[in-house]
Amino acid sequence: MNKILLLVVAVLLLSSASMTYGVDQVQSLDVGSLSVPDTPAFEVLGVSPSSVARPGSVHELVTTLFSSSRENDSSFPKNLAIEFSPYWWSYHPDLTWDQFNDEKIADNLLRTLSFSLATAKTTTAIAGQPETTGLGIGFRTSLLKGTPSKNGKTAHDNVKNYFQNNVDALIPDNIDALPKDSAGNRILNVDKIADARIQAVLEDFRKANLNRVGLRVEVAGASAFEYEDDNTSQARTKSAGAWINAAYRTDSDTALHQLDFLGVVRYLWNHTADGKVKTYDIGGRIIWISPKDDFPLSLSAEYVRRFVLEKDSQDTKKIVLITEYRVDKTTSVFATFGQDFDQNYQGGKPFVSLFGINLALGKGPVVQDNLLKK
Amino acid sequence: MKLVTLEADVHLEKDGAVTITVMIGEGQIGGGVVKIDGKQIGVTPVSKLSLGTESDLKGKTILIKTIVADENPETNKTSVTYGFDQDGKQQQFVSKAEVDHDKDTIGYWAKFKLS
Repeated sequence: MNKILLLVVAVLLLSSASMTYGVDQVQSLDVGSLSVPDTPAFEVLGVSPSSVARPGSVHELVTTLFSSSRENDSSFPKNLAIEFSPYWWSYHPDLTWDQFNDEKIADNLLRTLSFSLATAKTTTAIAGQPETTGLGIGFRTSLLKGTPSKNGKTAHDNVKNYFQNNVDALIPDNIDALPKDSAGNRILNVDKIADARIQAVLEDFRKANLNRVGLRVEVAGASAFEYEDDNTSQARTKSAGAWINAAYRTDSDTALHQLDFLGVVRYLWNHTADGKVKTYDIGGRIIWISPKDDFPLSLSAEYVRRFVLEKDSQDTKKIVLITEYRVDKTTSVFATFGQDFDQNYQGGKPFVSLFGINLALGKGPVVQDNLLKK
Repeated sequence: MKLVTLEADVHLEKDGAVTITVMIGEGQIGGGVVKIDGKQIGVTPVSKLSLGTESDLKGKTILIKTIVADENPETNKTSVTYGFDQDGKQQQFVSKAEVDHDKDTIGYWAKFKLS
């Protein structure tokens, strides 16, 4: 606890010292910007929907589209946010956990392929001007997604062993006396103590399984279109993006402990009032995570070179050092120093000196009804 | 916790050793036990667990109980496949269900009468 207090005090002191660099300049800095976006369609459309539909079948997809159109009394929905993975629309009884974690590119591509779709009003009808709507379409997939670490495999075995040793206490041999639900299915009554033990074993697995090691490669692409009223035949491209992200993580018991190497190539195309802007970013980041569980500190350095494909525009770069201390599951304090891309600042120096606290408050995006399972 | 049940008859040929394979699908995790007439003879998941011959098994009941945890972030679907093999002759049964909530656990109970 003393370490935490010392760190917070240090951060507060350093924060006051950093004010001379101009706090108004840190607004556009995104320290996590090297990641491939979770939902590329939302990214290129510039929306962050609070509710995302995740249909689990073709029928649910059609129902979602139809009900969204009906809500807006329009031939085309205006407030849509959907993400779906067709591979998981059907059952795969022969896909074991081991096979799910194999490193076959074609299998990974299919299993992780997801599509995102979003619509949003981009301008409202005023003074004779028509209303415009934006439509974003995108995809994302992982060619390689790493493998479970040694700790992850051990945690998986622990879950398997726990259920093998305790299944008799959870499921009786004779189920005739078990209650039934309204659909006639048998229900197991698991008491709070047993449930707490199960959750503890599974929580250990989840924690270990998050830390996948080896090579991970993600690819994503998206386009956003804009059209007036419901006239989609007159749609024009508003923005587009493509992302390739490669990352390598060492296992936690190596000499370097846990190191992440990230590389990113991305292409962004925007149609703004000033014209079309195309940029290519190429860069990387190296992240070190402390081996001590009671001192969860991470340090990272990031370099991204931006090529702006416009006349009279100069290439620019971003170089930042980031340190983060995770206080608990929901709270972390961080500090960032360095230089951001030049064009993020109107006449100001692109130096950044950012300190803050991340608080994971709320429940995040709402998952809709029974259509949405994940 | 939801329980998925299955009861079926498995007809055995006169000759050949019988094995059973119990597989947890959908990339999910879990474990359980295999019993013959109430006595545990193995655990699940398992590949080609030897059960004996037709003369050993005829008239007996195999009970398989498995707990599956929804830990695949891509889906809430779960399944357990039971495969009997006797000298290449295979009989397969699949139980499947979705958990009601993300990261739920679900029970699978299957009883096979061997004849």
